[in-house]
Amino acid sequence: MAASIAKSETRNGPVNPIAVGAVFLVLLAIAIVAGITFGVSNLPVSRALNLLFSPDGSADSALVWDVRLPRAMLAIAVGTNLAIAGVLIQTLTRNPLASPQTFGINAGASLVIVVCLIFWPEIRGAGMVWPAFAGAATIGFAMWALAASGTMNDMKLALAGISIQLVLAALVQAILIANNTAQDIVYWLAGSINGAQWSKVWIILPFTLTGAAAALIAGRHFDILALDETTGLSLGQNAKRVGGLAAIIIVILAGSAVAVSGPIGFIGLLVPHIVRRLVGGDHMAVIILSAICGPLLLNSADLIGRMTAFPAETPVGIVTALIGAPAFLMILWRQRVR
Amino acid sequence: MTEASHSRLSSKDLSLGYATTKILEHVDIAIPDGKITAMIGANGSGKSTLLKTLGRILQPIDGTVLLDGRAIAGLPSRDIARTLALLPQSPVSPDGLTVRQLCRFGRHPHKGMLTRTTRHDEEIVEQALAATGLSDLTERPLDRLSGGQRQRAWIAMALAQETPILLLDEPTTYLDIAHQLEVLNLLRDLNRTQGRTIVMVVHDLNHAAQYADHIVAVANGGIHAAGRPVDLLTPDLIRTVFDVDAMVIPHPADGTPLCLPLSIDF
Repeated sequence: MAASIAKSETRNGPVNPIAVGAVFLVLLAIAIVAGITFGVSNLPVSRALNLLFSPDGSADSALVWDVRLPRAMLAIAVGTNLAIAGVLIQTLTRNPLASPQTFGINAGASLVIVVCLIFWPEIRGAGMVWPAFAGAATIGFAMWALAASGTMNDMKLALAGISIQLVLAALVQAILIANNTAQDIVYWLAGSINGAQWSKVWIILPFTLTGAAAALIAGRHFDILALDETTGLSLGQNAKRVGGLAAIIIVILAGSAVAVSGPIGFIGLLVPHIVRRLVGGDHMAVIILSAICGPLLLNSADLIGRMTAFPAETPVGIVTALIGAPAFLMILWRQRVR
Repeated sequence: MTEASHSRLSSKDLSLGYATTKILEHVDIAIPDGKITAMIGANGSGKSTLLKTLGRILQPIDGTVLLDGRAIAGLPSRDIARTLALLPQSPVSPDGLTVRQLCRFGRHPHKGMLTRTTRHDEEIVEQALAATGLSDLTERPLDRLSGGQRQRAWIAMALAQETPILLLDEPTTYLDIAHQLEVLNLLRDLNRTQGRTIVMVVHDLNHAAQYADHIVAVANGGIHAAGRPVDLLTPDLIRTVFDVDAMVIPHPADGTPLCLPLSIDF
C-alpha cells in the first residue's frame, strides 16, 4: 500500500482524475468479488459471480446474498462516509492531520452510543444513529470553538483532538469495565463490519447519499473554503455559512458510520491524502474519488481481517489502523522532505 | 454616469483599527478610477488595515466605505466581489492546486449556487492566464512556481474575478528585485490596457514613484497627504512619514522622483 502511494506520486503535476477513478473502480470491483468469494467457506469465483447475478436459493446463495454482499455494501457506505468526512474536515480546519478520528468526532459518537447502550440496552440499529449524531456534533462543536479561539495552530489543534479522543476512549473503557458489559460492545468499539445485514445498509444509506450529494453540490464552495479567509471573503464567500454546511455534512457522515460500524480509523485520514496527492485540490474530483477510494480501502482491509486470523476474524478497525498508521507516517515523511 | 464616476471607491470619516485600538481616524479618501494608487507609510502605520477596510475585509470602527456611492457594509458580499477584488499579503492555497484551478476560483462570485463552469467562464480564465503570462504553466501546481510566478497566478485569479477595482496588499513582498519589477510591470500593464483601478500597499518609495499615478501617505493616525508622486514625494514628507532624512532628485531615466535616504537621525 505505502509503496504504491510512493510510486504514484508524480513530479509533473496531477494525474487525470478520470483515469484514477477508472483504476479505483476496477480495484474496488475486484475487492468486492474477492469479498464475496473468500471467507470461512471459499466459493469458486465463477460460482460466486453466478450466484450474484442469479441467486438459486442454495446455502451458498444465502451466504453470498445475506452475509457477504451486505457486508461489502456496508463497507462501501461506511468507507464513503469516512472518506468524504475526512476530506471536508481537512478542508474546514485547513489541517492535514484532521479526520473524524483524530479530531475526536468518532470517539464522541462512540461515547454517547455506549452510554445509551448501558442505560437502554434495547436500542439497536437505527436507534443508534441519533446518539451518534449528538456525540459527533458535540465534539465537532468543541473542536470548532477551539479552532475559532484563534490560539491554536495546526499541530496544537490536532493534538487537542487526539487528547479529546484519548479521554473519550478512556471514559468508554471505564464505563465498560464498571458495567462488565457484553463482548459485542467491545467488538463494535474496535470498528467492525462483521455481522453486517441489509438492515444496517439501509440505515446508513440515506445518510451516505444525502451527505455525498450535499458535499458534491457544494464542492465549488469548499474549494474556496480551502483558501485563506481574506481571499475567500474577497471572492464573496460567506465562510461561516459554508463552514457550517461542511460541519453538518461531517456530523451526518461520520455519526452514521460510527452508528453502524463502530469507530473505524485512518480511512478518513488517509484517503483524502492519497486522492489529493494523485489529482490535486479540486473538491469535486477529490470527493468523487474519495467515495471510491474509501470503499476500496475498507473492503480490502476487511478482506485482510478475514484472512489473517482465520477462522476467527480481526475487526476491520484494527486492520485499518495497522495498515493506515505506517502509510500515514510515510505520507507525512514525504511531505516534509518535499 | 454619476457624480462618483471618477471615484467609485471612497471613504467618509472612517475610523479603523482592531477591536478597541483605533489606528486611523477621520479618513476621507477617494481612490481615483482607472489609476494606480500606492499606499505608503511606516510599519504599523495602518496602510494595510486601511486597504482591508476599503475591501470590506475589516469592519470600520466608525464611518463608512462607499462603493459606487453606497455604503459597502450594506452590500451583499457577492455583489462587492464582482466590483472589487483584494489580494492579501500571503494568500494560502491547498497543496497541489494548479494555476488554472486557482484562476477558476476568480469566477466564483459570478456563479449561482448550482451553476457549473460555462464556456464564458473558461474564456475569461484563459484571458486572465494570458494577461499574466501564465498560459504555458496552467497545469503546474502553485508550490512548483517561482515567487514571481506564484504572485502572478494570484493576480490571474483576481483578474478572472473581472472586477474594475483591484486592491493588493504588498504584492512585491518576499520577491527579489527582478520578480518585484515583473509584478509591478504586470500591474501597470493591466492598468493601461484594461483600465483597471489598482490600489497597492508598497514599501519601496521608488516603486510608488515610478508606478503609481496617485500616492496616499499614511502617518500619525490619519492620511498625512495624497497626490501625484511628483508633488507629494518631498524630503519633508519622507521625514514626517518615515522619520528618515532623504534627498529627492528626478530619476535620470524617466524624471519621476527618486528618493535617496541619507541616514536615520537618532
